[in-house]
Amino acid sequence: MSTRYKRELMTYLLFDYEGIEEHLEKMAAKGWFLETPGNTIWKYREGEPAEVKYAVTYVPQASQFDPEPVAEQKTLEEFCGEAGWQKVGDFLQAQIYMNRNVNAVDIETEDAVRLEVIREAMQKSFVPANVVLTLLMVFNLWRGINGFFDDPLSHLSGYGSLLGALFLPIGAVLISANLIAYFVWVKRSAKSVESGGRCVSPRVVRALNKWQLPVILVYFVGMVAGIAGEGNHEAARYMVFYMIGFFGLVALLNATKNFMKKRGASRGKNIAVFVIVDIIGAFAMVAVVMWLTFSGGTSGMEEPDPYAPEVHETFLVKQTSGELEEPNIEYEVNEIKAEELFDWCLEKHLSHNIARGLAMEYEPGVDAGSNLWGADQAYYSDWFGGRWLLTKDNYIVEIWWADELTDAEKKQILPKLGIE
Amino acid sequence: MPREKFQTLTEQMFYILLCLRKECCGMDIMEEVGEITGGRVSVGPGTLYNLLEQFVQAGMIRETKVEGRKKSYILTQKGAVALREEFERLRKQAADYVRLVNGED
Repeated sequence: MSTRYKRELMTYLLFDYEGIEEHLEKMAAKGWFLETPGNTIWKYREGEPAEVKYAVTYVPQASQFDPEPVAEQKTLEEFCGEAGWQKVGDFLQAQIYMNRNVNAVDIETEDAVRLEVIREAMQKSFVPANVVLTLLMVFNLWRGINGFFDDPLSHLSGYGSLLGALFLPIGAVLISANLIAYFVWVKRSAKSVESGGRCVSPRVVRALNKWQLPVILVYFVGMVAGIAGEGNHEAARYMVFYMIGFFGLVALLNATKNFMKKRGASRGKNIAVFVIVDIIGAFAMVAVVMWLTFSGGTSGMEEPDPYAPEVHETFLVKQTSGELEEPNIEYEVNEIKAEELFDWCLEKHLSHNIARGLAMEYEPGVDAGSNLWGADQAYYSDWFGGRWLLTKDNYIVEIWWADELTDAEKKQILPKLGIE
Repeated sequence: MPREKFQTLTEQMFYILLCLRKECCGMDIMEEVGEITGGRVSVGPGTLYNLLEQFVQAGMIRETKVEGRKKSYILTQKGAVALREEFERLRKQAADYVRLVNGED
């Protein structure tokens, strides 16, 4: 009878040895024994359920790019073998051992020493990786916040855009939470071992981390559905293809690293190839994703009506944009449903237009006052064939290509856009 | 105030250094500590491996022989001093206990 295998997503943080050990022991009790621990996916082999003991220890000198275990790993393996511990595998700096004697002496019997080794090991991979990720998220968050405050009407008028704007702060919190959790764990554990106690258990962050990926996936699916629901199918397709491309790139990089290891390449050479494949792969991925997103076209489909308005709406803002046939102008109408937001949205929209670098300056009442439009306020710029920003009640309206309009036509614009 | 490293020795550190008064192979220390203490003190292989590295770096023991991956060590003068100081500290603790507790009895 052939042996069965199964794979599982590893959700434990690298320094959570206790969580990993408990999980592996539970799996063994159900008849699943760890065969290969990858960085994210772990492979199990089916066997007779058994009560066994697992231990996770760390070798700071180890690297995932080494063609074979370093001397320190081999020496540790011999020490552990003397005590009946059998090495199962390793991932990053973590070494996993198993002992069928549940009463065997633990591999680590002094937590002060264990904590020191873990801190040294985390400096090699966990801390730098999470610091870089956190900085990237914070940078993107800063850009996202700037983008939101620069053009709030676009973000507030679509649930997809609104969810997208929230994705960055949520992502930043989740990514930085891992780093913060580690430093809090180190501080509390150091205090404990200083007085002869043990390292503390990171149970809370373990529970939170377990739900991180499902939460992110559900949020992402909701965001894509929201964007697609608003009619922005290209953006939705782009996001889906980008996510598929991202995981494809990760799989390619792992395969490259393992291929180089099998070829016996040194750590330095493996890292160099990894970085080159990563850079080329990232550019290629973006190019392929862009091509897939925009190559759909409209062949075989009916030509859309050029005068049909495009509508995006949330409980905060309804945005209607399009083109009028007669007179021929382009427009964007923003209905601000929440009164309290009106002045802020107008202020941001005016400064957004100025900040676009198109040197547009809105001047109040340039064209013999705003009464020609029947608007409350009127702002003008000579870009795009005459651009006007008008306000009426709770509406903010922009009109392009308006220089050729007659006075009579100007009076008709707002009613034609449904604003009386 | 945080304790300076090896300023005081834990039980495991103490018995490892005690075993290394004579030249001894690293891996044999696990068994020897168990024998000396009648099973009361156990040193895990991971802890032993890391402590031996730390003792070498601190100059408290030195390598005497390397046969493949098996290394043998022996206590240095610095290590002997640390062991002696720890013994004196424990002896004074025991004496204080005898003086105060037995004195009450």
